[in-house]
Amino acid sequence: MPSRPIHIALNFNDRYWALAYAVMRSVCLSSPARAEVVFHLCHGPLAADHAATLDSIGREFGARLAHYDPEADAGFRETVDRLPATRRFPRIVYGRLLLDRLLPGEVERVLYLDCDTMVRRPVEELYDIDLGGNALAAVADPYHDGIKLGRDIRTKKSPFDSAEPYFNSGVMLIDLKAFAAADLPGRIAEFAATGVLDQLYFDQDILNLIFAGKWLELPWRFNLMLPRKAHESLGPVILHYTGFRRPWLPYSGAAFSRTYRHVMTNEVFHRQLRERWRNWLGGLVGRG
Amino acid sequence: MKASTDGPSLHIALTFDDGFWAPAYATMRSVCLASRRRGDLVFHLFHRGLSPAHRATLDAIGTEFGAQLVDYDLSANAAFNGFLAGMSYHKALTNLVYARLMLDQLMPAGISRILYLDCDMLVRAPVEELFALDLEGKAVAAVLDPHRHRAMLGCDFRQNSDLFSFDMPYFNAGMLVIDRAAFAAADLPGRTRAYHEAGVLARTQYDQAVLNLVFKDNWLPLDFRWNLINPQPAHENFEPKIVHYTGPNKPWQLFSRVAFAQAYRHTMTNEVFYRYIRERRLRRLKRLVGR
Repeated sequence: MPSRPIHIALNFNDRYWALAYAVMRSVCLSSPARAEVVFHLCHGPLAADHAATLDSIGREFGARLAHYDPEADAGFRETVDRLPATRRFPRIVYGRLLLDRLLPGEVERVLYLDCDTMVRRPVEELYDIDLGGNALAAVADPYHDGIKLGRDIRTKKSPFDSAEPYFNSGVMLIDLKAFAAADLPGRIAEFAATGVLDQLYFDQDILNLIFAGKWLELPWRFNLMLPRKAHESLGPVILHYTGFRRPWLPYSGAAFSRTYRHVMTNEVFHRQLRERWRNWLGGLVGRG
Repeated sequence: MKASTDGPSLHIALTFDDGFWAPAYATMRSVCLASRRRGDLVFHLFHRGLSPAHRATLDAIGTEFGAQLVDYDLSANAAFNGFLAGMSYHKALTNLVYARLMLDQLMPAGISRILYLDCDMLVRAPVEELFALDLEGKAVAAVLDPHRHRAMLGCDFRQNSDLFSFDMPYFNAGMLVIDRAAFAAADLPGRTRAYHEAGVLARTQYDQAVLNLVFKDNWLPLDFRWNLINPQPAHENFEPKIVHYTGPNKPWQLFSRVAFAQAYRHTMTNEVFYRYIRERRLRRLKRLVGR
């Protein structure tokens, strides 16, 4: 018997509000079980109009939204204070490492989605799979060797072997009990103490190191990275807009870029674009 | 495995007008080249205004491969023209597209399975595989259309919710394996007329939308390689079986960037390929000088 409701977690800050809206709307559009979806939104402060737009998902589809501020959790702050953060990888990205702590105790299974994804098939096709006793299911990262070992696939000091499987952490189906048992905060503290943390690439390396041999490999369709136009005919289920082709920008050349705009809705698409340009111009004249 | 009841013959239907004679030739020649049963192939050609010179070129399919060609001049077909009266249609696609909805009426009795192919296709696998296919009781077999969502639901995916939903499987009608009896039982002309009168046709993809609405839950999805939409060079290694040139680039253009562009030219044959280019240029020139 499939487990319901369908719990989906997103991490984002206000800069990515429109992308979060598009991911949620894509999940709801593509699933007949849309009213049984609960979105667990881990984020920092949001502008009022952004929050209102996100909440409209509930009215349009009957899905539920639950909001969490990870920074309000002392355990989150303590763990994330040890970890590097950049503009591209802000502190909020580590929310996925502590989902067992942030989400309510009754949530046993959660699908984590990066906000630069778009879902095209009923999400329950993934949500209901048998994890086979594994802590999580994910798709192998096709760019793993460079991520793990750097230039010439040998220059980076790394705890990883080039031949070992390595997953992308942008789409993960997680068994929260097994996740909690892995004690991620404890392991991160251990990595920090031994110096291993300095060799790791943000959350993805941490997860791969902790869950090595304990994850189920999903078909590539569930997390198609760097999606190009040529991929459209191959039936991808979840598109993951890594790389430089961003469908929330005009003329991106990404797979299903037009579909993405209509999923985001034209009003939100153009609003977020105006905001980006305004911020960019503000940055130029020193009012960023 | 359900065998065809049509004896050894493999019946393939194409619809085209005179402007598409050369792509129709290439599609037929690709079917013959990829098949081990060339002598069993019967091409049913539904055309309108086809010039005698172009029709004569198509005859090469019979002489080169031993396949049979059967002509249906739609301009003289009372049933078809009666159906078209007052019917709305996509201007670029013309109302010829409706012929595929009437195949069960237009084709001779005794044929139980029909393979319909659009003329912008290159077939690379034996079509007999589609005739041996178990349709599992469904009326048609086809391939899911990767660009279906916009076609179904329009702007922001908030239109046509009375007809479609985002998660509804919706096939591309360019390649259809048809069970004739089930196709006939669906009364497509009658249903199309009703959709036209209800104003549904004008806000959807016309014949393709009708087929999807009528055969909802009554079609068998095939692997994407049986109808590869908008084929690009990156697809070549996937060994597509039928390549469907739906995108803006067409393989009959001189410098095309589609998958198998060179293979397409040789399938069309270089003589026909360049003749077709000269004809199109001449036609454009005549339009420019007002003749």
